[in-house]
Amino acid sequence: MNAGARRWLPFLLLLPLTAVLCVGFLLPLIQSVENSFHGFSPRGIDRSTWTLAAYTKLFDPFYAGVFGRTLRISLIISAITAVLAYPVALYVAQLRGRAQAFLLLVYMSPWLINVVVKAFGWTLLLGPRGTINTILRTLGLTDAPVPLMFNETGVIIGLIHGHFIFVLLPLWAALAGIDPNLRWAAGNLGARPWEIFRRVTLPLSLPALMAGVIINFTMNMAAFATPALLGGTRVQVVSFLAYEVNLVDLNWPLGAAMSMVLLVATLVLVVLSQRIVASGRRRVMFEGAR
Amino acid sequence: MRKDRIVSSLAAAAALLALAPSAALAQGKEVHLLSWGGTIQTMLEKEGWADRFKKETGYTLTLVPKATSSEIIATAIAQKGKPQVDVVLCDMVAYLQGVEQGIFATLDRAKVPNLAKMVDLAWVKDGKGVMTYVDVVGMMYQEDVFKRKGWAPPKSWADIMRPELKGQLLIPPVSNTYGVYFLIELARMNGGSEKNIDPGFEALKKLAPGVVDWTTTFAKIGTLMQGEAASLAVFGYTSGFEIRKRGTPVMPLVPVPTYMSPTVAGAMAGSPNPEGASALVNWLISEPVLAYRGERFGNTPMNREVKVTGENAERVLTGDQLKTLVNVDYDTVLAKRAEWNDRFNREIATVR
Amino acid sequence: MALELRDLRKRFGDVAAIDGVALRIEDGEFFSLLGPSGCGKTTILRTIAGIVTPDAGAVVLGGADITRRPLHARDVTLVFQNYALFPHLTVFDNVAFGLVMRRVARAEIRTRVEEALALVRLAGLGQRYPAQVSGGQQQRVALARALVVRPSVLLLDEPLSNLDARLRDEMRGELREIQRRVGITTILVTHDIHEAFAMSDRIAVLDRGRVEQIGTPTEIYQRPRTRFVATFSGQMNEFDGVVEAVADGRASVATPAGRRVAAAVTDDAPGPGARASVMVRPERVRLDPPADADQRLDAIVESVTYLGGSIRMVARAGGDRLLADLPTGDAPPPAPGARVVLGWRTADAVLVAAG
Repeated sequence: MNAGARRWLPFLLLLPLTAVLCVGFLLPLIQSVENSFHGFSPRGIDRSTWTLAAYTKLFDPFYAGVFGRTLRISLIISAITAVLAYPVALYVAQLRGRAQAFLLLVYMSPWLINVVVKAFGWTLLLGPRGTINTILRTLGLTDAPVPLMFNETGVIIGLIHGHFIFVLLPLWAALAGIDPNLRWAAGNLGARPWEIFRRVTLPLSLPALMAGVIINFTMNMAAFATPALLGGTRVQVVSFLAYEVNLVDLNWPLGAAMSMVLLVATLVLVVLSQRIVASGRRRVMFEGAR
Repeated sequence: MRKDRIVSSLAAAAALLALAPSAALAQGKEVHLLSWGGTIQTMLEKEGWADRFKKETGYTLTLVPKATSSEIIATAIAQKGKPQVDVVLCDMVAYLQGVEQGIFATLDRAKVPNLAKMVDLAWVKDGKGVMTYVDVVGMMYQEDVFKRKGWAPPKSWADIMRPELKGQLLIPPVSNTYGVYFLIELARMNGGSEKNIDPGFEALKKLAPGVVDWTTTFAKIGTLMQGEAASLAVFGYTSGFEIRKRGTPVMPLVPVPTYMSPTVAGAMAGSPNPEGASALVNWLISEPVLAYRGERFGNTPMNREVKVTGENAERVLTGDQLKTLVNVDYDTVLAKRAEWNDRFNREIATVR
Repeated sequence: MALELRDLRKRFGDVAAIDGVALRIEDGEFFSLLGPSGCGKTTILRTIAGIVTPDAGAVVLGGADITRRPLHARDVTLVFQNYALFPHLTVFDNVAFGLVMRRVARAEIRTRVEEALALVRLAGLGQRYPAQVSGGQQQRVALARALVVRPSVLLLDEPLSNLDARLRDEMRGELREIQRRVGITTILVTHDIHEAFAMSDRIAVLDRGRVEQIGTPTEIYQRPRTRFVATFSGQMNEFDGVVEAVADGRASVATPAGRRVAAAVTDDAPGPGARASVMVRPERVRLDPPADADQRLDAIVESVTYLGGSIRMVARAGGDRLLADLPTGDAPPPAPGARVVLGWRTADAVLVAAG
């Protein structure tokens, strides 16, 4: 085989995936961008006119409110997930190999289960006559059922559960990868357990935590099935509304505009948070150095 | 040497891949049906009706399944001008959106002889489609809960306003076909109409705080009824029987005036296999298929000559009964659909 | 500060990592724990640091029992084999870490860190990250980080093993020099005899969790008390047999081949009838031995290897194979096949019990 062929072989092998991505992802994305600038009537999308009408409509308080809610819920979920996942990751990372694999599988299981089945399970747990409300009533803590479904609480609970692994996995990998000597070295130099955590473990796992939170956040922003099933129409999020606009109203320009704004907003937040982490990394230690 | 072989086999595989679709097209004996993955898929794939179709016509039937009518019609519209499917089967309201966008061919009476046997009502938009069967818009209530609380079983649309049912209701949103009919009925009940929909929205607003969930699927209704999270739902009449069959104690009923939700079939304009498309539409409205739909799923056939027997016979409307069905002003529905949906999302959906 | 280990024991599963170790390290002493991998030396070091809790026994520092004292409250610092520098902190912050934990005033931290960095010749590199300095520099950062808090005892876990040979020699001298200047009690863990010999005041040779011998480098090398110490600390000519007689600080051993060899002994040497070995270092064996070399034997040269500073000769005397490291002189060494007389002084031979 000659040198030229050898040089081109890697590209040749990448070709099928690149082709799939272009056809399945890039082209539809470009099409969406184009669609978002076209006009709309019940007769369909009007490709002869170019207009910003779809974007203007998104400034309407109703749509802006849906974007605001999506953003707020996504951030709340990411924050709670980060706080909940951290101790779990710490615990799992210090177990023996086999126990680690088993527990990770347990935490991964919700992700392997169909969303509809999960939603059914949540109904049994969170419903007005579900397990949680029954326990609360039996303990005499509540008279009327606490509404845990068809509201933001339900969506938040469902998505924390559904997207937990995306914070846990990178965090676990980072924590398990920290040389135990570093913690001993810190302790040896006089750091108490809390200081070891604050000065060594936490800063070393922060990039992974941030990466996990970003993945988690983007997935929360894009979540469709869980908000639809556990929140219903009462908790409208962008993806749900975009689905209705695209498929029920067949208003593709507006749907495309919503998708674009969702995409851009998510990207901006991701880039911003990475900037913050990058600049914070150089400043985690004490003032003494300056 | 070895790598050379890998490269050449990769190239061969790529070439094969490129040729594959055209090879499939070259056969020409395939008909693609765009419809639901639910009972239609059960019928065609699990219960052998696709094989029967092949035996009767020689065409291989391939189902392209979607979850909702909205998805079906959106897919069909996306293929406008260069369709890959031949026949579309979905709900009336969604179907009409497709007609509006000009994606359907006019059915040919000569090639679809069964059209002659259809009731007059079944004719959609001068032959741009044909109603195969209709589902009646109904209600269902959770028997156990009603019995335990000593509530009288519901009989009419007006019962949904009963104060004790507040916090017990499952109603489809306006984005759902059944939801549209329910909105129209609410409007009519309160002195409005399709053209004057405000009274309907006012009634919905009154109901909204008592609605557990604005539910779009019968599976979710089943779950919520099973868990006694709700006890009265508006949905397809036959869905009520499906839920009951799965062991949840719900009782379906048909309030008067009775609305129907028709299922419409039609051929795509410029379909890759127009002959096959005609054959499939003809087959879909034939007596055996519609009798099966009636007996198996309780669908009311639009073919006059169909005889439905078995346990579902009494649930299926026949002959003169069909004339008692209320029709709606589809042109207005179509023109206002997006507006109603938007209004529902703004004014009703978030009320609690 | 003086450090004492009292009958220290630690098991990991079925393995006794520390099997009853007792020793005392004097204030200001440079003490080495020497042994092959798995001998328990690192576990002892970690027990002193508080990373490992012993099953039994005590660690006593300056008269106080610190066996149960938590990791962070011990006045000993450890230089890890892989240095364990905090990758997210600058060199300065790494060194300052222990001082910050001790709540030292900011101004003082600055002076002391600068001093420590100057001590290890790293002045000016404070703002670099560990990944931005060389292996030798990382080693010195770790040393500065451990020294800056002025601990009672400094623990070094194979600190030179990750450096290349040239740097290792250089650092060996530098480390010893710094230790002398600071005057700190230091414990070095190593498997490298040269490292231990070059740096230590005293050495404890360990095998399978037990102390085999404690002594100065000279004692360990010249008067090994066990077969393990003798062979671990360098090459030996061995004559295995049975002790015939012990008298006047001298023991004679008869080998199965009928040869008699003698060695200088102390009181606790194996007595008559015991199986034992006489051992002689190759560099103590002389060619054409002078009059005071009272142990002699005739041999045939098998091979001669020129090593620059010395000549390694392998010879055969009956059933015994002998190694001799001879000084390079003007005369050419005997060729293979030549008949030679080899000899050594009884005082240069040691007697150890049969392993």
